[in-house]
Amino acid sequence: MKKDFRHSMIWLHTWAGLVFCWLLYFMFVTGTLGYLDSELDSWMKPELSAAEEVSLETDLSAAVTYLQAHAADAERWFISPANHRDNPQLRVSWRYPRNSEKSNGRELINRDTGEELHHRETAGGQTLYRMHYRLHYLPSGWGFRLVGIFTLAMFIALLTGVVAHRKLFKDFFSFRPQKGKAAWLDMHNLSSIASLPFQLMITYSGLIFAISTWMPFVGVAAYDFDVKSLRADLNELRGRSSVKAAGESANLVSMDILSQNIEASINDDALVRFIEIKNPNDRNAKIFVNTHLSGPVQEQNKLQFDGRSGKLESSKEQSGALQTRNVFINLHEGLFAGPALRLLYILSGILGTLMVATGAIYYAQKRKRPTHALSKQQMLVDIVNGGTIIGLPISICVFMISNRLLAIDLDQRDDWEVHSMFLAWLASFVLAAFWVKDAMWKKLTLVLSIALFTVPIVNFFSTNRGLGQSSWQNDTLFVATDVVMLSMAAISLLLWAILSKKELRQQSPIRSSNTHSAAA
Amino acid sequence: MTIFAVLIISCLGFSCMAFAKPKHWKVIPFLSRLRHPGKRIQELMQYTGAILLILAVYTCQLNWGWALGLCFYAGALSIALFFVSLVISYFENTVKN
Repeated sequence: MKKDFRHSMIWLHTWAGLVFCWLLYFMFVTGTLGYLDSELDSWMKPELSAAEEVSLETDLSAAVTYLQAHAADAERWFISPANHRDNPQLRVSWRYPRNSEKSNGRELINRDTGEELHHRETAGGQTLYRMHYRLHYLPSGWGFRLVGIFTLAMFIALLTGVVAHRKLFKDFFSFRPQKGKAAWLDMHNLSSIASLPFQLMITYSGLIFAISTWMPFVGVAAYDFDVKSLRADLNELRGRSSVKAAGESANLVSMDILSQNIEASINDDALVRFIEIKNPNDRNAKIFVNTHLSGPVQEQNKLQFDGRSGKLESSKEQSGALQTRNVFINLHEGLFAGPALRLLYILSGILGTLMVATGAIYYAQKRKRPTHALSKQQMLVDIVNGGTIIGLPISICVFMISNRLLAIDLDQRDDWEVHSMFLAWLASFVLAAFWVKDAMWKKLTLVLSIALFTVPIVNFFSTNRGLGQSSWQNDTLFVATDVVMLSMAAISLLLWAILSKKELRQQSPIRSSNTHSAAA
Repeated sequence: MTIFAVLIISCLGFSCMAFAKPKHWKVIPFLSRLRHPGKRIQELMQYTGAILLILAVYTCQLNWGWALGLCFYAGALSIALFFVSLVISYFENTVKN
């Protein structure tokens, strides 16, 4: 038992932080990039450019014509019009019943020709984003459970951190870069206090995602452990009412009537996110419409239309509990955020990443003695720190580079993109272990800046949308990616220069003392 | 554009709160000769800072409503606090050197 409350909290903060920090760093980096998932998706499909926004009717007609030709007997159709950053192209997908032999599918559609859009097979930003909550190479349930535990550790580390670093309230604005170890602590304090509201929100709402994973018995017990009826009720609450097909064929409503009815029932500024058509071409066809969020509080509920007449049947009110849950989930995902708020989300995410990274480095630095050689444990912490903090960004660069360099017709190309990312990460750990006794950070930052420089260069030579080839007006995304990559490369080069200068400064007194002793 | 206004107001607010501390006071060039700000000046700075931060939340609410406005406010405060601290640290180090 520690001597007082604060010491117990410091102990808990140190260990909850240290044990979980490396995977939390992974979650912060992939989560922050998750706010750019659609943009990364588009970057990884350089053959496609965003479709121009046209009327809802045009998109729906093109999609339904395609689906009638390719999946007329599917149980459910999903149509996402090209009207938002999430859907730069018109997208359709279809699902058959579970026991059907036919396979589900999804395609991007060219609305002018009605044909599929062809692009390279890629893991895309969505895979990177999925790693944020499911990790990779693990069965999805286990990844999700593990992430739940880490989120809880993060929440504990945050709350205990406020008690442990009580000085941060006294020295609110302090950052002393010249103070060695204290500089790391200052940066840890500063980045966490600055983004504390974001951190608390993101961690608490992250826990809400895992609420039924880690507290399953609350819901199940209320149904006398009858899981099936609980699921049925939950689905109904979420608006997925169980409409059975009648088995009699009937014509689907024409899309111009449906789009008129949809536009009449939603707000003027609301945009359709996706449309689900259940039992198409059946007498019991139902159409569900979901709109994009305009803020954290959902203003528009799910609308249900009749599939034959296209008439509005109901717009379901959500229960208070579900609405509360949704507010947290929406705040976490930030789907409603426009460019300015999205940038703030990303910057807050970067502050969180900085908080985890500086915390891990401070732990290692604090225990180092200049006169003592590194112990094995210290070396291990250093290797894992270097391999994670610098290695992960390197591996993400490799993930992007592999998208351009892997053969287009490679079998399971999307998996190989992810494999190359993890192989690069493994290589960074090997490099870190190799260099741990000799200027590891300096060398790793140099590797990082080379990796960051390589991305725009490879993009320039492998596509016709490189820097100088495309302009800000017609290809903002590609120009912005190049600019961001180059500036991050410049920053890491600057870091390398600072670390080299520091190393020289540290070496010079030793050298001069050596020459003195030689002269004597 | 409102977001820039909110960022500037928050930066000013945090700067006032920072300069209310004698530690950071010497950063202001023309006042650095005064060793310590008087207690009244300290209080005045603190209140001005608080009022500016309240003004920032009011601007957010006016422009985006409470739900979205508070999201903008939280983000803007984080960036403003981080930025102000880095700028103060930069000046403190150049003043010392």
